[in-house]
Amino acid sequence: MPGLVGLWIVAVLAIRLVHYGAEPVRAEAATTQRLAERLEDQGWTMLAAERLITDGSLTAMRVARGRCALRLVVLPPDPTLVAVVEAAWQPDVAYVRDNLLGFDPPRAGRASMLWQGARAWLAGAPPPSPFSIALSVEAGGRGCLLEPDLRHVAR
Amino acid sequence: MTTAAAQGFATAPAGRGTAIALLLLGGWLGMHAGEVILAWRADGPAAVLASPAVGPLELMALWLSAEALWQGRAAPVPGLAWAVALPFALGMLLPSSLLPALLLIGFGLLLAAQRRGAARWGALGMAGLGLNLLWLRFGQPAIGAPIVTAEAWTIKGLLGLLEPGITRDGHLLRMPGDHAVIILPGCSFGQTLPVALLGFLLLRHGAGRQPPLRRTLAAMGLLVVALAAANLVRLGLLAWSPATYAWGHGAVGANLFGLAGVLLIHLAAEAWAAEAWTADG
Repeated sequence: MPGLVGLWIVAVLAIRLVHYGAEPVRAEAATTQRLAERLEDQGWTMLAAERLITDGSLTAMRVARGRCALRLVVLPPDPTLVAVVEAAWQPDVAYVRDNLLGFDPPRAGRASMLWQGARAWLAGAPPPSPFSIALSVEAGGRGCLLEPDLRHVAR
Repeated sequence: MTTAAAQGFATAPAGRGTAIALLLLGGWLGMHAGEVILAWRADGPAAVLASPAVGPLELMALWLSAEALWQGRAAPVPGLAWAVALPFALGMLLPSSLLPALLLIGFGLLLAAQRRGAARWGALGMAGLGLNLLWLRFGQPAIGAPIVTAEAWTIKGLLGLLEPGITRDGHLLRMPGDHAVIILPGCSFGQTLPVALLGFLLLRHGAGRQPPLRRTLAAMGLLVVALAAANLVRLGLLAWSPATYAWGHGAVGANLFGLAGVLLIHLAAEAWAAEAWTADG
């Protein structure tokens, strides 16, 4: 009987290796990669990154093109991380969400976040967090916020 | 009865008990495997070390539960447990995380109610690990914020005695200069307290001991205070400067604090533990 249970354990792990091995990796990393590629395609030059949190858990990319210099970071609607960005880049922090540029920070309700987590657990897939891209102007004026085309980067 | 038959009869309960123990262990693996695989794929093997599944306190509680199940493997396994074991095993085949946690809790509690001694505590330990995961995924995000806020407020107050320029914005602490840290739930005392208390109970009772309740509660209270203080020291180091952050958050510092937690749990489990051994312990 212990041998049979051992085989069952192997099956439990094998099923998960196959299933989770096929799921998309964490959306933040993929979105950040797409963002960097999109900006480079549009002629933006990458500058030294800015660590908003010392341990690197929130690191913004800095780009420049012509007279404009911007800071951008991919954000899940985590109020803690949004507060970090707002504190670091105040007063003008813009957000690209659902392909629209605005100045209202993204907020997900607690119930919504818990439901997303529960869906992830039930379905076995990573939660499809609604990301936004936070951006702020380093140089060049507010008009620089309209310079990069960030449509469909955050899927 | 022949000798061989007697030996077979004697080992059969141990074999069944071992099977039950392996079922519970498989449930624990199924509960954590998905997250570990995803973390590995997203951030590499090092990210797995940051997973709660391989934290020192979780592993200690797992070890103690497995040890208790092994010690109690000869205890009879009631028929109801076998009736539940099949749907448990089938449910575990679904690649989910919530379902294994719920199944582990239910099966563990059922076994704990039906068995005695070390086998009971082992099953309780496994159910406790399932409950701990529910706490990490749902409980802490829902109601753990006040603990993090209290920690941030305390650290700001304590470090402010040494560096008056420190500021706090919610859970974000900023030192004069560029150093800023945010206290995330993963760094909070609330993250590790439930599994630490589970380990404490398993150490104190898992081998069949029954210390007086009043002494156990006193030891538990001391443990809570000690763990909170140790975490405040760690958070203070992380917030003080980039150098102390790098040490405290790095492999050496993080493991040292983890081992300190394990040591504190062991000390608390032995505190005032006058033993009254059970007959079937």
